[in-house]
Amino acid sequence: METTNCIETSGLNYHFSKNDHVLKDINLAVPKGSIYGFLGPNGAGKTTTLKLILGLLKNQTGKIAFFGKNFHDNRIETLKKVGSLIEAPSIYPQLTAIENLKIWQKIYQCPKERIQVVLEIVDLAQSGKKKAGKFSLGMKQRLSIAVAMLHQPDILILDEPTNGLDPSGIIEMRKLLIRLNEQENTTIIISSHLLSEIEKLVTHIGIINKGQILFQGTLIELQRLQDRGSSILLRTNNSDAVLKILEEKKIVGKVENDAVVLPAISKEVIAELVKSITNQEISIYEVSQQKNDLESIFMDLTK
Amino acid sequence: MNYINNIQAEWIKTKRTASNWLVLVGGLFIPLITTLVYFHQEITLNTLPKNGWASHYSSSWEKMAIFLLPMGMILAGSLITQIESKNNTWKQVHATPQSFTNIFFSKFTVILFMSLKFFIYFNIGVLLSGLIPTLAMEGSMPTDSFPFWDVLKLNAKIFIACMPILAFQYFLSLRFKNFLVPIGIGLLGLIGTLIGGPWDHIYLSPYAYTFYVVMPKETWFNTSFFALISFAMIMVVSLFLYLRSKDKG
Repeated sequence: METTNCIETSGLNYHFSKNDHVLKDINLAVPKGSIYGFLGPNGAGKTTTLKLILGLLKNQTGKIAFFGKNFHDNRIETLKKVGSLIEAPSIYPQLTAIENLKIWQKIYQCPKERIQVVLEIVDLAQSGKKKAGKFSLGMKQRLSIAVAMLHQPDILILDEPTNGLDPSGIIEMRKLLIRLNEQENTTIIISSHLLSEIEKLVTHIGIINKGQILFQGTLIELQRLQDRGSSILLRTNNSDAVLKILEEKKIVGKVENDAVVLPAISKEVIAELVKSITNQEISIYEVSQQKNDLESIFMDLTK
Repeated sequence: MNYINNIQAEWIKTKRTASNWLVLVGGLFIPLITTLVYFHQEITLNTLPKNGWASHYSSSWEKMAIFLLPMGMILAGSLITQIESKNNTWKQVHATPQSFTNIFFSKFTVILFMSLKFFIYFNIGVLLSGLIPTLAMEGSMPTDSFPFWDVLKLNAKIFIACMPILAFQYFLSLRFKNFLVPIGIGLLGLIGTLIGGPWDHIYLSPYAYTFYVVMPKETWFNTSFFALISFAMIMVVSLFLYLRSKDKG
């Protein structure tokens, strides 16, 4: 069966003990070629979901499918197409970056040349004989990403890959993932507990909290939620008079911090309103749109 | 092909680990002490009773097989597996496109190779600890011929006797993430076996077989055969539990 989603889960449940339900009815749909941001506060169930998807935890109930095929029936074939980084970096500290990558090159049976290619991509080509144990956390993280992309997977599953990276490292990683997505058409699932960290990167978002998916859709759909929650702020020298004008125009407004706040309206209506206000010789100090940022939507959803 | 590649990958992981140093130091320790004793007491292969080589080899193996060898196997069997637990890399290993059975056996194969390396170091050490004092003190080669097949047979028997220890330690270190647990259990098991030596059913202990090889006594069973049966049983249980484990991350 042809599907536009490269990963789909349905009715995924997981519990460590009878009363400790970690995941409840998780239905993920990760479209091919997307960068899917998997967002949720710490302990929300992100890592558990990703571990289940990779077969690291035994599935209790529900189904996991990659490219329309059941994961458990096609585990080895599926994992050939998947690169992953789950939680902390997986590296052998007594080995150099090249030796670390050699291990995975043997297992994935990919060309030796890939080692140098990925080292250059993650900017570790100059690490030489330095043992990975002596790397900074950022370097370790980059080496783990090199491991994940060594065999040119169709899907990259990255669990909080920006942990331990400094702001420039985060920007670099963002560029790298966008490049991989655009040039190699790699589908990327990236989990994070910070929306601000991934909102400039992702095309799709899934928000999870307390083991339940609260939102799943495109970034545009999430932004629509954002627009729905936005408002207009009018700061003048006479708020009461402005309220009267609004009443005449059948617009509901209220005074907050010496300014009038009204629901989002079209720019034509705003222009007309400004004209009416100035006609009454009221001084306007500020007209602005108060947007709910994505972070506050995330916070609202996960409250 | 996948199995061979995986063994190569597992072998790279052992580079610069404690296990590597352990087999080198553990393998050469007894020969070094023997060399010093021979020099101190002016013993050469030609002064030893019967065939000098045979006496030298069996006495070296006796010293080794009582405590140091099982101890070395306990550490080798545990430390190699602990590479993954210590570095939190099991999740990466288990997310690779290979069967869990393949992962299980390739890792154990590397443990066997590492033990073999230990045997090679020890044999080279024993050879040199016999040859060097003789050459230095008598200025000539030993007169007795080297009992190649007997030495090989003895090595093979002891290696087989070590396999239940390796399998049991492997089983323990797959079950417990903290490396102190398998090593602690191994040590207690070994000491318990030493104390319980006279017990009729001591063959039930995986740590008992190396004693039987170097200190043969009347038994109703064939030591190597029992060691292999014990090894196979431990491996089957270990594989079963490993495949069934719910959390492979």
